[in-house]
Amino acid sequence: MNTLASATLPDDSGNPRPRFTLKFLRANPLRGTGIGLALLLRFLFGIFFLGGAVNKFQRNYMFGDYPLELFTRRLTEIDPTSFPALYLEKFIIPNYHLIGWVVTWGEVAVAVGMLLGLCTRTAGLIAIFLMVNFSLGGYHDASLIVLNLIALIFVVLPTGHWRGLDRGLHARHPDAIWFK
Amino acid sequence: MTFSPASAMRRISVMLLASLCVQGAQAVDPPPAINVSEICTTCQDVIRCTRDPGSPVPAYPVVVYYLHPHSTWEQIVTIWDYLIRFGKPKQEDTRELTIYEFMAPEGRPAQIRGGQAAKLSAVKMTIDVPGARIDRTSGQWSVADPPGATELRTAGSCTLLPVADGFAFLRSMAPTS
Repeated sequence: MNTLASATLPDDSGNPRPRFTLKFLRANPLRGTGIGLALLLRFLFGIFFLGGAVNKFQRNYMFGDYPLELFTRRLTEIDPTSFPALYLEKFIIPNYHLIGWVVTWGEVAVAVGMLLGLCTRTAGLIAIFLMVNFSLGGYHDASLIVLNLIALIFVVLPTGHWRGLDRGLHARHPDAIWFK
Repeated sequence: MTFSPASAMRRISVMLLASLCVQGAQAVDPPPAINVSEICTTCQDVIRCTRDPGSPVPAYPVVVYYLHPHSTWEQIVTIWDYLIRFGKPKQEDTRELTIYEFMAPEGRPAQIRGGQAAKLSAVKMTIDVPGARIDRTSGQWSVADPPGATELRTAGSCTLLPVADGFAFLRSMAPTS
């Protein structure tokens, strides 16, 4: 009983959210499994975006013309009368360097946020912002719907408090919204 | 030989400049004749192949290959696929295929074969379709001769229809009630 109580009650920092540990998992198998799965999902999501970010650096996305080639090609692949074609033609392609920067550093931010549990909710919001824009820019497919729903989990749930740097940073800076 | 930070910086600068010059001098390859993508899950590609006049290869004079977009589930599975490859570009893909075979450049198809599969390879730069192969670089169309054989012979050439023309073709092929 004591073990169960200590595992579900606030820890020394006064944070009411449980810290995910083996002890917590043993004491709360159902909730612990749910939290563990959410954390596993967050880690995989981070790996996914890390892969994307590495790819952007390898392709010189920020300084080279690769994004221009990619977007121009995409324009030839989609329905020319659709909104994504218009968005690509009028906004993405004329600003491809800016888009290259935003996408590269956005993916880095999401990867770091998810892997370290740092500013996790903000990282989730950045991921949603990026993926919505991927969809608008003609790269929509069903996988983005699933990925957006997964990102929403990290915006809604305090996964950075269950495991991550957000927990300690929130204890130090309780008023900062970044670590909530 | 002693290490000097200034000389090291000079060497690095020269190497960086040299690498930039090499990058700038790289020749740009022309786009392939059949510019289809292994990673695009929503693309609908329509490829029109025409037999060379007088070609002895046993093929319909005009064959149109419609490469379907991936299904919803296949699109979702690409997340896992991407994770396994850790962001490395996909080199091969299989797409659902419908083949429209025409006796003449105009008119209705003599035969429509749905539920087929097209294999795309970015390594070989080919599209393998039942009984034929399309060279994506040159657009060359090779057909099994005799039919069913593994040996392929050049029958003609293929072009990828522009997206608007591809959609127009598909609309024209839609069953009318």
